Amino acid sequence: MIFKRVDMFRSMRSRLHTAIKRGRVAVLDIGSSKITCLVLRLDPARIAEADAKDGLGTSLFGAIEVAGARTIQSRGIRRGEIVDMEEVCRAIRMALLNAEKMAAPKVERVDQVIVSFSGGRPQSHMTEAEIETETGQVTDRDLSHVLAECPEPPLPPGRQILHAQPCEITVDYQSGITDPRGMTARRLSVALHVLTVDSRPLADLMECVRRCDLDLAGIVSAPYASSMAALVEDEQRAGAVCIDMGGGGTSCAVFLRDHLMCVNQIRYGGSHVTGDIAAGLMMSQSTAERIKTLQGGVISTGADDREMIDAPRIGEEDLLDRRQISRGMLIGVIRPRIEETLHLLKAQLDQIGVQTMPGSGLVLTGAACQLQGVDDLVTRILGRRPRIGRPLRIAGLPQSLSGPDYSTAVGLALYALRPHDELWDFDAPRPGARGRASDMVRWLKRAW
Amino acid sequence: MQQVVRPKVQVERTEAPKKRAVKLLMDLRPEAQKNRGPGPSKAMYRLTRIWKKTWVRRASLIVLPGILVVMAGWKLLNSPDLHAFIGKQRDAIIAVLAQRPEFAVNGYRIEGASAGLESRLTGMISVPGGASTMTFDVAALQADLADVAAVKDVSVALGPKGILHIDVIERVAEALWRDTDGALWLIDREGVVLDPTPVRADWPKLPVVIGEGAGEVVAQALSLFRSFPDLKPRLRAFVRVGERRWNVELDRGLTIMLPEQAPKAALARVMAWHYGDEVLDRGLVAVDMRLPDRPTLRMNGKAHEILRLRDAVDGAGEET
Repeated sequence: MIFKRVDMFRSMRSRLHTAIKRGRVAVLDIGSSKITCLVLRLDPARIAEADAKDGLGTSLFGAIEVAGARTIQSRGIRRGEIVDMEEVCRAIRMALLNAEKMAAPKVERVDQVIVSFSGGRPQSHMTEAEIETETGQVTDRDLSHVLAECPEPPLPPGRQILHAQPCEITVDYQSGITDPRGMTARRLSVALHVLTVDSRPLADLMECVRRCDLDLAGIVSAPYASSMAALVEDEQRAGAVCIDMGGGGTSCAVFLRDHLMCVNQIRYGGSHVTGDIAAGLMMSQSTAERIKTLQGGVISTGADDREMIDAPRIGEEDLLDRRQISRGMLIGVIRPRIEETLHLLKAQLDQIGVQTMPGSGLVLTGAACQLQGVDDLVTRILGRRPRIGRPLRIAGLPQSLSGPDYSTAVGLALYALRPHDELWDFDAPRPGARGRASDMVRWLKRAW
Repeated sequence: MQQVVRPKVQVERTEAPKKRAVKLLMDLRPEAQKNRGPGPSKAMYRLTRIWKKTWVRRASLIVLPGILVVMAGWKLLNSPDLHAFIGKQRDAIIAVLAQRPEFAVNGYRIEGASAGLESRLTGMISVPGGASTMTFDVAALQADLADVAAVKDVSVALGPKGILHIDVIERVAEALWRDTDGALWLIDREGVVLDPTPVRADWPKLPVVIGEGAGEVVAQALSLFRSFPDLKPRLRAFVRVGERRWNVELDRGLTIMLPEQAPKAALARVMAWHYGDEVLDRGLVAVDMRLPDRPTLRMNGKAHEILRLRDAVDGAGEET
């Protein structure tokens, strides 16, 4: 039964509600190249008001404010997965303390934290179930039943559910229902998007958070988080692909009709490009990173062969007669890796069937998309003109943190405000019970 | 000279399982931070975050110091040493201040006393030369003065410029009391013995009361005395008989014996008779009013003789 697999997340939800009630929560984007911590101040009254007004939360963005923000270099993480727990803990502690210090007059201390999880080979599954309603009208019990009827995706040992969102609810063959409760229907069917990840890196991440004395109020898949911030609402509704080009990996999230449909990840990212430069041109990692950031690109022109840039070999950094290479040479090192990544991505997107999707939005976000000419390369390979997606502006976000590389952090903030319905927001069906009276009888039996 | 470069040897420790607290402390040592990225140690991190809890800050910055201050203060206030010290300092300060001329006792003024009493009181008041208003014992002086019999009430107060104001209410001698030994004393209306006086003639206007227990009820006698001014020229004394009733002694050996109850009414009856028939001018020894319904006149020997003679004459007349 699928409900039993997600019990862990129910306590996270209750912690999130606690955090919202207290009006303060921190989000931690734990990536391979940087760790970003935002300390958020929430306005519980406004959230409740927006809930009452419309269930969609369109007027929510004023209810959140970034009180403190801090980005530090990530340590002990490779490809989104933890390799040195102690180092990661130190980095998290440093980021959190600094963000708290910045937030100090407004928010003294945060206990609940939402983290992103960018590794673990995410895999999307769609499962579907259909039932006949009990009374001819859709009730909460019907919803619980139909969700419980959804078959589990294949979960070999070492895999775990991270997200499970009902993304398509159909009532008597009428699709596109947002809230079926109370509707008259004989048949109710639900399509569940289940995202599974490796459980070991996930457990490591949770252990790190635990070691930092923080309460985990949610774990969000990084591509999902960044697409929430980078895609505007219309793109999410019409259908769009958000490609998050991070340091440790490149991932894509597909949105359609306001719901996440698919997440995929290629385990090549910006840090691999840096590694290529360092290895191919015999440079130190930091030098490679610097020239990649300042002079890197993926489309070379004739002028690039004449433009010479400093590219000191290892140990040559302080000498006057440093080695110089042409920019074209640098691009020659960078481009194959990006191309390879994009080709792998295209294969996956083709497999999903993005070509046949009605919406054709393509949004690039993440730090590596700032590489010069990436959008042209994407156009060439994926066949669509992408948009560089900067995260939604939320109040108090520093200008330095509003670039495309901070989409994930901002997405986490939006998740804190209004998470999509997940499987664990619904009650598991209780066996043999019908209605409130029998509930009471059973409760009495249990109590005495 | 060849410089010996000693390679840094890193000794690999075989870590024995340490207790948690020890491990935390070891985190703080600088070498534990080697080869680590920047960041706070776990202990530092925990301390910082605990410090951010409002109640922790309040407890350690306000409540705890407050409790300590209160406890220390309480202890200090209750220590006998401090009390002794404060007392000594206070005494020294007072001693210095008391010597100031502003606080000197400069004299006294007695009000409400007759000349005789004033001179007696003056003899009793002694103000030492260096007396100060701060240390002068007003209450003791007041008690001393109040002990004088002729003083009914006295209040002593220090007024401005160091003057002692002594207000005296004097007892007024209203009667003379002759005790069983025959000595004469001046007493006031409450029967308080004021002064001995050897000569009755010095106080012609005061009545004399005689007898055991007469002093206590002298007010009754005074009331009789004032009610019947016509008695005054003939009055010799009020005599208390058996500590319960009065005899009025007049001149020529006449005694009016008054009852215990309502003596004034009885005397009024006698006086009424006197106004009508000059009873008191006749040859009587006593007018006995002790039984109200049976007043008795006791005649002297001469009157008896006259009466006997008159009876004899009347008897002869009748016979004739």
